[in-house]
Amino acid sequence: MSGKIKEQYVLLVPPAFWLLVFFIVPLFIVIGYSLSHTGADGTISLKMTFEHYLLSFRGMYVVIFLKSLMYAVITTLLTLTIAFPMAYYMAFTSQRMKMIIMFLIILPFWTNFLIRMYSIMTLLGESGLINSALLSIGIIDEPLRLMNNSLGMYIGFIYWNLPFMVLPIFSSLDRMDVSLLEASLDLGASRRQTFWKITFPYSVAGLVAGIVFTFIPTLGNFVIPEFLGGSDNLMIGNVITAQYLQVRNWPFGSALSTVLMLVVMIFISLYIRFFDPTKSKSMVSF
Amino acid sequence: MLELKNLSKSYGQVKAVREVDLKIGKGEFFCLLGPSGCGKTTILRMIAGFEKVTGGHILLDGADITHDPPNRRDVNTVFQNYALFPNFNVTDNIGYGLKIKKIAAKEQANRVAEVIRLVGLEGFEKRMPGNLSGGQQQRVALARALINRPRVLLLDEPLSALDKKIAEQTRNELSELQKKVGITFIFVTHNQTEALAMADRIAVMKDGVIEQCDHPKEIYERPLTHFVADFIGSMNFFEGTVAVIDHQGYNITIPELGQVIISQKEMSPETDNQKHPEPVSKPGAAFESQKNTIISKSPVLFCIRPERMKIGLMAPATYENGFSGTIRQKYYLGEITKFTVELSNKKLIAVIAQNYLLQLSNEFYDIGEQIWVTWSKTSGEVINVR
Repeated sequence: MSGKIKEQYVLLVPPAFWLLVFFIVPLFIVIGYSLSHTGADGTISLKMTFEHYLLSFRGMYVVIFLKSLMYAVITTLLTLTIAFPMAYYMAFTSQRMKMIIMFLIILPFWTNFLIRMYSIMTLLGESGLINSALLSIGIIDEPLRLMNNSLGMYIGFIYWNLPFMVLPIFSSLDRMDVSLLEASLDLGASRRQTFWKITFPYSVAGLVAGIVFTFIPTLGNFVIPEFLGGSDNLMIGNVITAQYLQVRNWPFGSALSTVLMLVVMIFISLYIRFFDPTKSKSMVSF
Repeated sequence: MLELKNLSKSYGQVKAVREVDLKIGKGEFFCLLGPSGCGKTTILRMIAGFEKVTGGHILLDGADITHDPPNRRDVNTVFQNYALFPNFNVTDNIGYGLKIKKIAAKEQANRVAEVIRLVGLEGFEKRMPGNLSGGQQQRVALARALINRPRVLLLDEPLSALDKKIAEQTRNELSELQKKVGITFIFVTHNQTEALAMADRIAVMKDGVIEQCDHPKEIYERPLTHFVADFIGSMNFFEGTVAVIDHQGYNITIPELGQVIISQKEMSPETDNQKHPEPVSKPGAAFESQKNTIISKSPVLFCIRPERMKIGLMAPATYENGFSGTIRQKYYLGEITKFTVELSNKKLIAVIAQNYLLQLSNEFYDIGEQIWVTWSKTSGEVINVR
């Protein structure tokens, strides 16, 4: 028995090796950079310093951090509001309909992400499809600003995150037996009471996963603000990319990355404290 | 009293339940029995309110509940898979209905404790459903429904997921419990033994129609249709014609056997009184049995149960009905031995003998042996061919 379990560790070797080479090592390189000194001429020397961290906590960067957090929180909430009813519908519809919706959710992944972003831009732009349609039927007189502002950014974020929120919620609700809902109704509960007492607790495991899958990538995302957010809606990811690619201040970029990572870790650990996914899993695996 | 009037259910073109009329008395243990797909569960789900009724009415104590939502009906269900809430422990599962009705916490606790005692779940109050055995889960499901003191309790094959031994034990407990609480039980099953053992009355269903609705004894001993005769227990069938009919009984001409005589039987639930010295008025006893009308010269089915026939090496000195045959198969089944006997005209019939009686009389029969099959004129039943 114990021998068998030991043998199973062998299965972990390839992923462990992969993570070591492509995650742990780069992580330490980034942390190393973040502690390095940048000279006046931009040369990097391995003299340990916290100057980049101190710089990270300067007003402008703190504001961008807070704004990024806000965007991520609002995006997560909006995505959740749209995704939950969708996942609920999927979980309790016919097998055929389930497959169709699943297919539609997965379909966009067959297309390159940048192409999808450009196509969203052709939809939302001033002379884009939506505006020209609304103009031609006379609902509006001048084009709406649908992108290059926070609206565009949220549209992009929700579009991007929706599958990652829907699928885990769906998979936890899908395991739910319809007879549980019937039992609750049978025992006198209304549909609303049944939802909050029975259905919602069942979905928690998926919900927790969906929130993590949405919140973290959104917080660090820099492509969607770049494409759809316009110049006013910088997120911390944009600042970090700029430090690496334009300003070429790698140590400062690394320091900002490390701070971002710490913020995410703090959030996740607090979150897991309150909604322990392992606990809710045992609840659902009945 | 629960009353179904012309109750129908169709799924598109498929008619699952066809104009069923049924009256179920207060405190009755009623059983809907039939093969899968006969519509019995659909009827139960319509009474519970989970299926929309496509025709007819459901009356509970005179009030029309046909279109009430499930949470507004004074009816509770024990589900086939129990449908226990996995995130609640035993106490919370059982107390769910009371909590929803906002019953005072103290009374909730008292009533939960009471039903837990009733179903024998003491000591399991804090367990999660996932950590209970099938039998215990079944008790929780029962307690969760009973605690609301419904006017009717619906049970959807509650014993089918249990081991045979536990199912038998639970069957007895369920009967006892039903007598104790006095709630009308409607029990759906495909298992005839369960139905015969527990029910006050049984409705045997086929293709969305009730074929026969009567007391277990009548169902077993006086089946009205070929289907009922065939579905309940095992039965030998012979096609024949009524030759003579008088106050004593029938004479049936059966091509394979010749003449068979059957005496007119008067059977009523009172025959049960041998078991109960004082006459007990049983719930459901008030409902009258349906009767077959047999007309002279009409084609009929003569049917006789294998255990009603007796095997002998030679023809007895006197017998009422008897025929010779050859044993073709023999299966020892512990309590009984099942023989397949080929009659002189090649027709195969089943005969069951009690092993205990065979041993007492030191009679043993083997495959290939020539034997006599006899039965009394009080055995067997005549069914109209429709």
